[in-house]
Amino acid sequence: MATAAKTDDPRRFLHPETIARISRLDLRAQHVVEGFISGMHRSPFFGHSVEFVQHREYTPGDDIRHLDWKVWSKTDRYYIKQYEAETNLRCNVVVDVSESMHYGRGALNKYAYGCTIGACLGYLLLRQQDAVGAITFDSDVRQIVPPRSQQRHIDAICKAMDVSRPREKTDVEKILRRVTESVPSRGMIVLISDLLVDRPALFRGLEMLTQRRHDILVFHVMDDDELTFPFAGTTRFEGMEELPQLTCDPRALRDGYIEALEEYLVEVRRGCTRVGIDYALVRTGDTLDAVLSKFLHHRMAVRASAKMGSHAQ
Amino acid sequence: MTVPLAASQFTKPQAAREGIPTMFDVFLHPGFMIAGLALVSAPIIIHLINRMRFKRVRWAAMEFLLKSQKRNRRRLIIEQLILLALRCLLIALAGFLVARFVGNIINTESSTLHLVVLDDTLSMNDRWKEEGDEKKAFDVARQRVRQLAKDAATANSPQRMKVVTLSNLENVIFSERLNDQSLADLGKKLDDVRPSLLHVKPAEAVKWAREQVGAAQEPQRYLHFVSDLRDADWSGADADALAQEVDGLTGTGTRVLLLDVAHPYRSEKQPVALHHDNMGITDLRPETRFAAEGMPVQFTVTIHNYSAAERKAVFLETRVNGEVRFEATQPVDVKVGETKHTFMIGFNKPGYNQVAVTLQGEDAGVEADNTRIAVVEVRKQVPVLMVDGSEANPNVQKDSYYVATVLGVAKGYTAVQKTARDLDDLDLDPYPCVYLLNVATLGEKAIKRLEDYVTRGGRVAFFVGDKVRAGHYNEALYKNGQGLFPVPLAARPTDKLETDEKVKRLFENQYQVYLRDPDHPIFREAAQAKYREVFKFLLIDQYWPALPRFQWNADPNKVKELVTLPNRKSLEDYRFRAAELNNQVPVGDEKHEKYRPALEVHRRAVRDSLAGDALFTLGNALERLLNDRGNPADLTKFPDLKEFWDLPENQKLRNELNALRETVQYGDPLVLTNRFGKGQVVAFLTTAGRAWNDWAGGCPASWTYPMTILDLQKWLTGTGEESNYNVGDPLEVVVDAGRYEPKASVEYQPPPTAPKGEGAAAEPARGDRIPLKDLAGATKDTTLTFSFADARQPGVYFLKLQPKPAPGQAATDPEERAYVYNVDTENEGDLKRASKESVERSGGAGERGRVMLVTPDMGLREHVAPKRKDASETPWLYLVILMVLIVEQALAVHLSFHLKGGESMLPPMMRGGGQPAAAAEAA
Repeated sequence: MATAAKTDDPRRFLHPETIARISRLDLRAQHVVEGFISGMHRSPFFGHSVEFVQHREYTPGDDIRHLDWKVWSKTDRYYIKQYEAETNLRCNVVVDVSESMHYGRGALNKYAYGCTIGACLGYLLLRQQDAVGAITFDSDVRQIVPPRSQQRHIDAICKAMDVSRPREKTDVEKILRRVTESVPSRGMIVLISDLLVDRPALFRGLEMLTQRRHDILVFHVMDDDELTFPFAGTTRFEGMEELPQLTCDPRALRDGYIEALEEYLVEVRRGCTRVGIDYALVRTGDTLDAVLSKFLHHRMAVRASAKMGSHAQ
Repeated sequence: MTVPLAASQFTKPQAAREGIPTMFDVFLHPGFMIAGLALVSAPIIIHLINRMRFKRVRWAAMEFLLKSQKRNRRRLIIEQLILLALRCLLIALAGFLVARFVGNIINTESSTLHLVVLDDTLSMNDRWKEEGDEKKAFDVARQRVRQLAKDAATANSPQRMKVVTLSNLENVIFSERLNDQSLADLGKKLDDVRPSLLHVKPAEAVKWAREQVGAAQEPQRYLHFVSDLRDADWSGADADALAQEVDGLTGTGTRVLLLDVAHPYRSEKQPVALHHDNMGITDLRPETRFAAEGMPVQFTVTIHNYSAAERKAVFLETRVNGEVRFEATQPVDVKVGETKHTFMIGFNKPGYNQVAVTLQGEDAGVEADNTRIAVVEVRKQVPVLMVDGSEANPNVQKDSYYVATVLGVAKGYTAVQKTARDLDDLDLDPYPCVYLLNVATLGEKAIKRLEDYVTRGGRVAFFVGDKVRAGHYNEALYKNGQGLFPVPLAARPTDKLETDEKVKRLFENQYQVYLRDPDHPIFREAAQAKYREVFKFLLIDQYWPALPRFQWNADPNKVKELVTLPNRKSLEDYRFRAAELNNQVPVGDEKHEKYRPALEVHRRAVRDSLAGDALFTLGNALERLLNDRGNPADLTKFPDLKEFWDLPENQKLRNELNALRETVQYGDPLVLTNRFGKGQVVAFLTTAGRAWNDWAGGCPASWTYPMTILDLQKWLTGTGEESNYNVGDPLEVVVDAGRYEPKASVEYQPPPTAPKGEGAAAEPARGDRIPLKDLAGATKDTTLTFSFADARQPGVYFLKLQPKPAPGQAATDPEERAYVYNVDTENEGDLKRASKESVERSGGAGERGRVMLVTPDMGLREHVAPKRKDASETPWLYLVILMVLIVEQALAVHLSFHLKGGESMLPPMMRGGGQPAAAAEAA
């Protein structure tokens, strides 16, 4: 019963060891994001006395309060002084809770693993004063939790991710369109899924999100079994999500399976890269803290290099 | 298909014909077929069962799995089929392995027949000393048969054995299925068997085996011939016939094992074996079967030394009726091969006298052949039957007068004169011989009696004369070569010689008769060189010429010319041919330089003879040319022409010259012999008296007449080939049914030192007779036949015939006739062993390898109760199975039917619920 009670607790997705491991890190949006409070992220809006960015020639309609009179006095031309304003991050964690995510042989199945990633990231962002929301989906968008920056909002996120009867995925493009529509302002979208969907539809959906200038992170969760296919003996594989069943000798098909899987992973990685999406393949067998810290370190490194690049300009 | 080799030795048609279940039948049997198919299909069934016993996994990434399955479908099917085929093959190979056991189970019902023929012939009495004891080949043979039976009894299938001896194939000693009890019985029965003294050809054993095989139910048959395997039987004249018999037997699928038991023991790898030396008496022949009291009789004993060294001073002991006769007991040097020795013995006791000669001092070899016996019937007077058709006249006596006078002078003979008509009803058996002198004709019954008499071994002398009717002789006596008389006669006799001609011939210094066979007993004495010259003065005034030779050119083994008259034709007839051949003599040839002096002389002599007009001079010249032995003291001047003519290049010319010589020299035949049945006939084509010649008196050659008549008499009463009975030969005596009662008895008189052998339990006192059995005669027409086939011991067998009493008279004493039986030394004395090659040879029709020589050092078990060998025992089969197993396992591992290291069988079943695996397992 104790185990049952524990499994019902939505906060089970908050993995204390993982959180402790990543708490020293921060998750920054790679792109400029819109926020409603000042924060640690760059805002698309130019504010005051925060950080000078550039001069721009005055055009009618500009606020004359931003004229740099010192320049006018020297050059007799009107230039506008622009500053970059800091804002908070709006992050939506989009978690796949469909039936296929419920496969797993290790301590955590894909669903649990994905939710834990989502919860940990949410917790991390909330600690950074960023607003975090959550969207779960299977055959359709199942639940939407708008972004909030209160610390207690994590409970709502965890609760949203906790589903009891998974359903199959159907049209991923439609789902991502709905996600796009439900997140009007630019921000960060973290997609956690096994991506066992129609690839062209997936890429179309992702492109839709990138067109809204969201900073998109994709955590591609795969089970160890799915990556290594270690089965032996005559086995009937019953397809989840209305896929056909197949009775076979797994060892005989393993090479072909791995080959098809490799092709799929390459296709997904290329597709994400093509539209500028940060893609990470995670295995349920890997320790979560290591995966996340590696990912966050990687992002920080990328951001630092991008910043250095902009300063050089 | 698994066919054990032993089974496959029977070809299928043969086996099918005999109703033997072959492995083919076994495999084609519906029951076995179904069982086999079920076994072979086991992997398919297991495969199908495994397909039904699958594990179930709820799987998300079906897309890749389906794609993989689609890509690998064909390869997978092929690999699976290969694996399946390998597994089926494994089952089939396993079936191959167990097939021999199945075969054995089936063959348990197919029993084996062992036909054992124990050679108990005379040579099996070969004896030697071994570890101080005397041992016989037959003892070894008995032991070998015991061992054979013991080994055969170890076989899994039922084994039946039938044992006979070669000398008595009808009498089955043992015929039972082999088991402990029957083995003991066999041992006892073998102890009672004694070797015989008979000679029987091994082919008889094979014939017997063929008969037995024909009636046998057992599918496997063996003939075991336990013998000393002598060379005389297996490589001699009968070898081909024997090989054919053996082929016939092996053709029926029977194996022939020849168990060699002779000493020194042969080893398996020894192709030729040593043999014991042996000596034996092959013949003992008195010059006459009938002798008058006190008349010395010459005996000729023939000793055969079968060893490779001469034996000096072998003591030859002679006994008459058991008593040693020291005058005839003497040491003899026995050369390698045949040695003849003669001695004289006189007899005083009337009746049958048994004469036995024994070789003393032979330690090894066959003992029984060292003694040989003969019988001479001694009478106060020997009756000689004479039928004389001639008439006396003032100048000459009747023909029988001259013959009877000679025999009378010799004493012991009494001439009994009868007429031709008397012969019709006369019993000839009391007469040792018959003279027919100038008999005109003979009645049909008389001819029949004479023919019977000669057929049974009697001898008849014909002398012709003026009374003879040639037509009758040709028709009734010559019978176109099938009758008694040797030649057909011309229509009339020659004319009497004119006085001038006689004078001329007397002075031509030429033989008036030619003795063609100087070694023939009738003329042996007269043909001596010191007497021969007188035949130049023996004028034959008249004779009855035979028809030309080409009209009666008889078998030379049947009719022999003993005396021929000179050729009286003209020299002209031969001149050309003689000159032609004379010119071919290679005088000038350098190779023959050393012979030139003699050749020149003789060629000149031939040439000179051709210049004259006397044909005989040419004959003489040719004879000298061909037979000049030269002068050993001076071979340069008088070389030996025999050497010259023996040269291969001169053979042809010599044969041609010799043929010419014979033609030139020999004219009409004068004396001839004719074989008829067991007896012989001699015919003189001139008179016995002085009517047609001066031989009986009145010419320088007349003094050879008595000696020739006496020799003729001895020959007529002598012992011919026909009187030599070998032990085992059946005796058949035909007598006049009107004269004898149809019952007779047989008595046996053993030799003084009776060899120990079969049936020799009762040893009588010296010279005594043992009553053997009474015989009932078989009457046919006027003849009465008594048959006796139990003469298996050497000795004298007396047939006692009871004459019918004359009407009104009391019964007379029985008459007895003696028949001598000796061991067949000639065929059994040579102990030389046959080579392995000659005994195992096949005539071609039989299957090779089915005849095998088994030596004493070879085990019998592997041959009589062989462990079945088949392909399932070959290491290759195991290697193949191992290879197939390895390939099958490799393929099975490759196709994942087996787990690799660290591989788990299956993840826990994930059938929905979204529970982590650990949680599901705990639940």
